Amino acid sequence: MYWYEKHNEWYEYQKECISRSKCYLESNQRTDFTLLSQGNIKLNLNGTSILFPILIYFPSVAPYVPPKIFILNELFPKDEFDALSAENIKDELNKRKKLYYFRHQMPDGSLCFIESERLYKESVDVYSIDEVLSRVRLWLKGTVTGIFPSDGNEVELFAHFPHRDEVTKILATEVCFNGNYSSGIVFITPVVNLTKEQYGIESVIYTSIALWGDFDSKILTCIYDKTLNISYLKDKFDMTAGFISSDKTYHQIESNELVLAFIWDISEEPYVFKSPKELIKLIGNGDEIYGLARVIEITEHYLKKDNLYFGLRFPNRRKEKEIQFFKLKRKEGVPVLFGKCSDEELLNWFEQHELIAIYTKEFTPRKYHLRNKGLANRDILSEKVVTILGVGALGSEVSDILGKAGVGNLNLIDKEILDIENPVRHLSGISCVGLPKSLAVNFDIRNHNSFIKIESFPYDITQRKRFLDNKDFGVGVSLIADDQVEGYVNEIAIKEGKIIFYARALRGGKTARLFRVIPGVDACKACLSIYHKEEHPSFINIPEDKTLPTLLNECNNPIRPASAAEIKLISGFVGRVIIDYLQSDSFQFNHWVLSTASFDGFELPKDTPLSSKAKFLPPHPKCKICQGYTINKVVISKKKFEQMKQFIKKVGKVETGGIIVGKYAQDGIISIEAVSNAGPNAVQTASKFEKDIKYCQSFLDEYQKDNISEYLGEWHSHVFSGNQPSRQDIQSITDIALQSNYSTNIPIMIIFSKDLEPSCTIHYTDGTYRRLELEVSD
Amino acid sequence: MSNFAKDKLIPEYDGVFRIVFLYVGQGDATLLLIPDGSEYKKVLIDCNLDKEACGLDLIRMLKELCEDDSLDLFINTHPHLDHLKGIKDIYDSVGIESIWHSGHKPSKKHQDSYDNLFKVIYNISPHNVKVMKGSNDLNKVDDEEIKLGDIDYQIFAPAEYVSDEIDGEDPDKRYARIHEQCSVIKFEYAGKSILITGDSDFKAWENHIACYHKENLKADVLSASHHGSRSFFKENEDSEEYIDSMEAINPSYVIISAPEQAKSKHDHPHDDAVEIYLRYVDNNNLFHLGKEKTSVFVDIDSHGNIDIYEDTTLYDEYSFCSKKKSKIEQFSNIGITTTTLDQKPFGK
Repeated sequence: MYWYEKHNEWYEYQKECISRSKCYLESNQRTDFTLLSQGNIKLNLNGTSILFPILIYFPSVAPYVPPKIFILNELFPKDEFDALSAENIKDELNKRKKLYYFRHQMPDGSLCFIESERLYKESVDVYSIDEVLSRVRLWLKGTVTGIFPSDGNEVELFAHFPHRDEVTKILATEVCFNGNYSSGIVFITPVVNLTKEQYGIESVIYTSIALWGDFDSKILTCIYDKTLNISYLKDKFDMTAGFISSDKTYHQIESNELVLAFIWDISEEPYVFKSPKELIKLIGNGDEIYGLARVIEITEHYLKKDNLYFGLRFPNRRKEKEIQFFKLKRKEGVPVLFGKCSDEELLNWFEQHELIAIYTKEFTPRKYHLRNKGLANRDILSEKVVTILGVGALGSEVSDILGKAGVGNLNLIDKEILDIENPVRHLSGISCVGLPKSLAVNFDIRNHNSFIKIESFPYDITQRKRFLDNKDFGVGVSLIADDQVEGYVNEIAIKEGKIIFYARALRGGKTARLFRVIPGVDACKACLSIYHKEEHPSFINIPEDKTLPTLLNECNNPIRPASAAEIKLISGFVGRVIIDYLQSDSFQFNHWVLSTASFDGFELPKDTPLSSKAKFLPPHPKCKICQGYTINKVVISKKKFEQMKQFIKKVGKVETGGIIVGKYAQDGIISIEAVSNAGPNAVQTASKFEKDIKYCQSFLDEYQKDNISEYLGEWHSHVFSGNQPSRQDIQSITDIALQSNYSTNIPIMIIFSKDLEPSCTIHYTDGTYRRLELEVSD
Repeated sequence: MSNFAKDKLIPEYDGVFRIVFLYVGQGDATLLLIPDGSEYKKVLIDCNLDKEACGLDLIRMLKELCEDDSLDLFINTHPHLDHLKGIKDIYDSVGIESIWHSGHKPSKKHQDSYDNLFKVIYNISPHNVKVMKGSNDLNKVDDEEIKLGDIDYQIFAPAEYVSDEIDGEDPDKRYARIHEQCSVIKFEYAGKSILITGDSDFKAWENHIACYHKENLKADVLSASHHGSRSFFKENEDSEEYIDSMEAINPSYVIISAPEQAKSKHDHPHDDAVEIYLRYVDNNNLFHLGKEKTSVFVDIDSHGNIDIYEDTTLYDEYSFCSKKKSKIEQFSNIGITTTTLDQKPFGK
């Protein structure tokens, strides 16, 4: 069915508009394969009537796509117009097109400004021919007066040249915009090369890597692009001060691995032009001979090449520098320039080149991140470091979101290899199967953002715990979804004061939990377990969906089911929360649940496809992990303190000790309620002390049976040395921290020196410890 | 927010002086979009609502145009109903910052329309209400220098002495001489000019305007006086022509604001008047709004290019008779599948 049958009313209306138009004088109309009309746009300018022949072609997808207007040299004779068909119209138009070399005319002679999307409008925009014709009329008037309606701030000069290079694209990096030089040689190199054989389309993308502009000094120094984080480029080229003169560079130029492009500053935004002579005149800011002198100054040693790349650097409408490159392709039969030539001969020689506009885009961090503006602040994010723990399905997507937002430094940690089962919901594709996931994701993110630093660590985080000590860790995001590993990460991160976000997909991806842990501020992973057990109202319990299948990997580890759709949704949510945190550093919430389905305890409002809840949970007062790193003082009464000294004095020249019982307080204080002595069956020598277990257990039970107090740690005396913990002391107390039969994993230890000077330390599962203040109160 | 009136009426680029002769049937309404730096001032000269002749619904159009602001100025050449109809509604729904008027005091017969103008004037700050008087100076109204954006203007009529004289007449005489006391203004921009003549008659021109301002009357675009009536040239069909005014104006374009002649109760435009205009301008450069219910746009850019063109889309969008709903409403169902059933046989 033709469009005009389907939208007959619109079709009739368009015909009526054409016939009623006062600016278009129709000569012929066809209404068979589409609505086709040719005639003249009438311009009554300064008392004179001017006619511009055009052809109106309604595409087969009208009215969704507006009618196309082609500017003609002259109207088709009636018989030729009648012979136009969907098959031959392109070729026939090509013969009759009239190119004006003004912005908005396409190579096929049509005008491109007709369609302009109206944002925030949900309905389909349709453009009637009368609107189109009035714009065409205005454009044609501009071809006479030189005044066109303003285009907005985007110059997009390339798009307006009828003769364009369909293969070559140049990304102009920071070096091209160096303001120290008004002209120079830009070194460009291909970074993407798609061949027709492989991809069905040919495309070569070049990026600039260096600028040589210091000709007068005769010192061959060069400015390199330091903003690009494409590491292989740095390795490939001789990025040193001797770049220009090095043999390596010479060979790379000879082999076209490096291509020379010449740029000149000009004073104004150029118009659309058609000949090399006009280009040279523009380089001379309107003076052809001066332009030629500028051209020869930097190109004279390089004119042997078949293709010359010339770039104009001009102030755009926002008063910023913009660059447009052109290829000057020597026409067949035109000899290489030889010997001394006059200006006229030179100009004529250049004129014998085809002028081809090249797709040129600014490729700088500022410009690249522009479309994130207002939502992801590049200035802030570029300074941030985020370490992603686990770049599986969810982790890879979250990493990609953060990379695209412009987070300046990403560390990717994952010990796994990308398996063939992964790409179905992972950022990385089949081409990366067999690579470490951290490396595969690195490639993909780098492809999305070359201006950020990404490091891959194909490590097992539990084997490289020092990584978490690293000052370059930044904010961590754990997407490991493994309780054991995350429990470990949680403990180390709390100890090291690292901020970690934990996220995972639950219930088949229908629900997700995200929580942030700032040590001492937020509930940590262990706190959440306690809140869960207590059924705390602020903790949203997410029960398992038992109807979902359980998949196991080769190590019998469960794989959490969720399709790519859920993964993308959750990663978007997680990414947004993290970006907001990185940008604002403050949050009234630290715990989020997102769900697309109701479950017990989370009711999705009616007619709502998804909902989220946010809560704030502080560190739990009973959480030993949080307490362990926030405790700074131990308080003991003078009576109990003196009691310990009495025990020591009583045994004489041997070591003695006992256990400590008391309470963990919320404000970082441990309060000692009681201390035992060694017990009757204790082993006590000058260099060794072992308490009487039975006696001490009985002592402890008296306190812990009604939850009055709990076990806090150990105390003992040294006979010959000071109050520093010995190797044996550390070994024993670390074991206490690690062993599950002890209620604490942050035991304290008080040691008296031979002079009865006490020390107090708190000990962790990893064998480390720190000193605490021991306050003896009255 | 963009809308049809803004898209259509506000010039597409800065620095264009746009004059739009609006099709309002048997009456006059001319909209000026005056460049003022990167902004545009909106000025309306006269207004009329003529449903019978399918004129434009000015109120609807101006409400869209002035969605975010109001008209900067309303100029009334004289207080006849066909130059004032709808003024109160325009003021109420669009808003008007200033008013310039001829100062004519109408007889009871035309009191109604004047009353509406008076009500509007009453609501506007007295500082913003000016009585137009002929002047030898540019940009002077009511003895005060007032600039209108980036353009210049000169008021030729009514001369102060004429207004004084007519004021002293009895009501019937005043009414008879209203076109002698009609405002005539020339607007200039980038060396090009446009002359608004209202309903000024040959007496005014012969006795008060041409003789005092002859050197300054030259204009590129002439808005034909009194809807193309012969009263600009003569007393009646058989009287002798007065064409000194045309000699002095010597326009390149003439615009006649009148309905289709057959539908004009006064037979406007008069054939003999059109014949005189055609002695000065080419047929292509004489525009009669009512002929095909078009509005005429005149664009003068900052280089002095003068571009003139007819438009039918304002009629389609805002005419009282336009049977079409707005295009957006009419075609808003594009993209939505609707079903129209027809008979289809089934079964063996």
